[in-house]
Amino acid sequence: MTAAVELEPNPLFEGLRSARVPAPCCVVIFGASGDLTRRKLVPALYALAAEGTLPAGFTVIGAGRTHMSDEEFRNTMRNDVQRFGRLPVDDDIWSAFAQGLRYVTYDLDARDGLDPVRRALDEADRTRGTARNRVIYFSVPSTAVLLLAERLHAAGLHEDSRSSFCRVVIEKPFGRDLETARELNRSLHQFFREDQIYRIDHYLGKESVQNLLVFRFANGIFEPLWNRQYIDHVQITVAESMGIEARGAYYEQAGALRDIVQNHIMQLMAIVGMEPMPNFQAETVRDEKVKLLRAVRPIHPDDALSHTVRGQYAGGWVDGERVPGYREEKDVAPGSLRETYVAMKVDIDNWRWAGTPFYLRTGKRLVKRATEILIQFRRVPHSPFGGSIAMPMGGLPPDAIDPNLLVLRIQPEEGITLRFSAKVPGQAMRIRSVNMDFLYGSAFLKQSPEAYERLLLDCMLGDATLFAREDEVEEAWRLCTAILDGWRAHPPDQAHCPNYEAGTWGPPEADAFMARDGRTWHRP
Amino acid sequence: MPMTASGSAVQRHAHASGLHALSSALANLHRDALRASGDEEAQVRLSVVNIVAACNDATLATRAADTVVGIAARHPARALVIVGDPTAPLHIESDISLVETGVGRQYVELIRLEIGGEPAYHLSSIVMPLLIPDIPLHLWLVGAPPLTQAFRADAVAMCDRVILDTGAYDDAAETLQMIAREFDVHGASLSLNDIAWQRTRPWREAVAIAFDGPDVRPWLHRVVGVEIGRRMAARRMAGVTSDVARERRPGHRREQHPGRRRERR
Repeated sequence: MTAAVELEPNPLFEGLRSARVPAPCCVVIFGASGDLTRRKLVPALYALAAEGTLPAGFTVIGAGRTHMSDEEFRNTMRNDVQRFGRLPVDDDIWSAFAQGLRYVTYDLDARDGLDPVRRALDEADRTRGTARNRVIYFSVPSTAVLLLAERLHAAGLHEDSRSSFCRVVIEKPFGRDLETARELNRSLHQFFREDQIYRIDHYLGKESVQNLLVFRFANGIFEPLWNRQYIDHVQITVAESMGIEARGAYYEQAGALRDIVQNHIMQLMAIVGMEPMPNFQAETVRDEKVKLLRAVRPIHPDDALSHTVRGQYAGGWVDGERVPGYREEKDVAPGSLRETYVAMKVDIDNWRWAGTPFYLRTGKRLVKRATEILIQFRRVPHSPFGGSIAMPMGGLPPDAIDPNLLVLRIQPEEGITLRFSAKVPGQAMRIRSVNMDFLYGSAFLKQSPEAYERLLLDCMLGDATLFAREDEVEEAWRLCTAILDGWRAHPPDQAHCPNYEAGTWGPPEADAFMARDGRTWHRP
Repeated sequence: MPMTASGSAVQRHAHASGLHALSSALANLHRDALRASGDEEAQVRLSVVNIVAACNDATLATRAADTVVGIAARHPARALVIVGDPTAPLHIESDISLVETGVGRQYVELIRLEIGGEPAYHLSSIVMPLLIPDIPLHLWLVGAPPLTQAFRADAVAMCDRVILDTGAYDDAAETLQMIAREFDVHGASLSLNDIAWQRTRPWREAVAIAFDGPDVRPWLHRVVGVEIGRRMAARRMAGVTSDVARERRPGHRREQHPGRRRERR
């Protein structure tokens, strides 16, 4: 395999508003008839086309196991873009975009099963000028990833050169535990170099997550406060009001820890906690994230129960609708003990964070959909307003002053909130907390791009900053695998499972878990 | 989105069916307000409280909405004014308004919700997702609704304060007794404001002033009798005033009542 060579920046783009247009290329989507392609990938590619960020001759080859003509594929995709896309379909733009849409069938069981894909790629190179530049998207079940990688390699579709690129995009799960993740990485490296592998975590493509990097490293006022001296603790919440939808079979194998904590939450924690990087190059950003993950204090399996809380939802009411319990969902065993909620405490053993814990939680069928990072600052050491009437939250003494909070909201209402104390207008000295919300979503009149738009474009451009590297994945698994081992040794008691009602903020044990440390969960 | 001016307050309105449409309608109203202002940097929302006003009928809802807008400059809030009717056909309809508070370019977010059918028994599943995070939630029981739902453990846990008007109930004395029992059950986790008590404020101030001077203060502890009229407000005031006076008497040891101490009068 030849190492890819970075081309010099195209001088003709100098002074142009958007220099982020990739070289002519072809995106091959394996699993083109699946949900991800229909709901996310093709709508994202269309949005990029509509915004003028795709190169001339850009081509999409949908590869699936079901038979479909090019025309049928185009019609289906048009309907899906109309239904799921961020932008309405414009006839002229669609017409140009659809010229580059092809569909082929493939068969992984046959040694020559990728020949139709190779022929379609050759044709695109010849007729649309895609110059052997390829992004290959693995939208296939995790069980098929290695076989597909092997077949691509055998068919020579893994090759790049000094003047062309070949990158593969792989969706989570990246293994089921540390050992399988290492094995997956080892196996993938037989067929692709690490710099060709783009492990996608769509959370990292969200505007608000990128804004978090800007917030931390482009604002000098926060950095001096961003440490154990001023921050009491950090809470990261990924709450979902949805259940498991039609993913019962997957979820029975995965659970909340593997599905959300190992990837999305660990990535958010790394970004919040990492040291400032010298530049915004992919390797330097990822180096800093890995350093943070390595500083996480290991949890011994025997301590897993005291550092975590597991939960499973029963039926209840969410958004004014009655919803079933987890065990009543399709493809879920009636006596399943699989966790749909996790709360945990993470200690980070480094100079910046020692003694400032990170509390992480995620759950299905909670009160609302909300992802946020909450930074709780330490209280003022002494209140000079003793005897004044304050209005603290959370059952504090009436003259207590609420600590300052900084909340970075990822979804659904992207923004930043700063909570501070202020005097209530009037003669008396009354203090109350005021929330100052910066509504990121509505502050900029331009609509934010979808996460997949950003990530697909980055991949075409060869920018891996927002993709997970093999060592990031393995470090995240190191912590999660110890917890899984501990849980396996101590399965939940059937009598206490399920242990939270749908439409609540999780099991009461999670509140007790925080109360043990003299803290409370905040309400997202 | 329609925009109207009521008095000096600029209002923006939208209607939505269902909860998901409500959230997008509210975001669109903010975007419209921003577009109209022509100032992208101005989009900061200040808020100190979530107010949930539970009403029995549309007339009370209108009165509650007017009150929320009236206090908005002092208490910038997101207010949910809810009329729930479990006997009505299933529906969740909302009217959303952004009303300028008159302070800078701040708005009160007023959401009037009509809920019919079984969801009306499960209001917390509708209300909770709509709250502004990390600021207190005040539940205002408008009129004289049955209090059983408001004092359920989950409702008490959810609310930072319950606001009611014992004066609106036919039998205020019985209502007060019921509230006292609830304090016994919930203790310090229940925080309560009684509008009827606030209504006696001018009278309390007048009585306090009457005993304020150095010449008259000694007489405070020599009051041997009070004639109380038939009105409940007079009885309420006399009761609490004598309680306070007794508590302040030198050498008096008050019987502690953990729950009652939390009542903000």
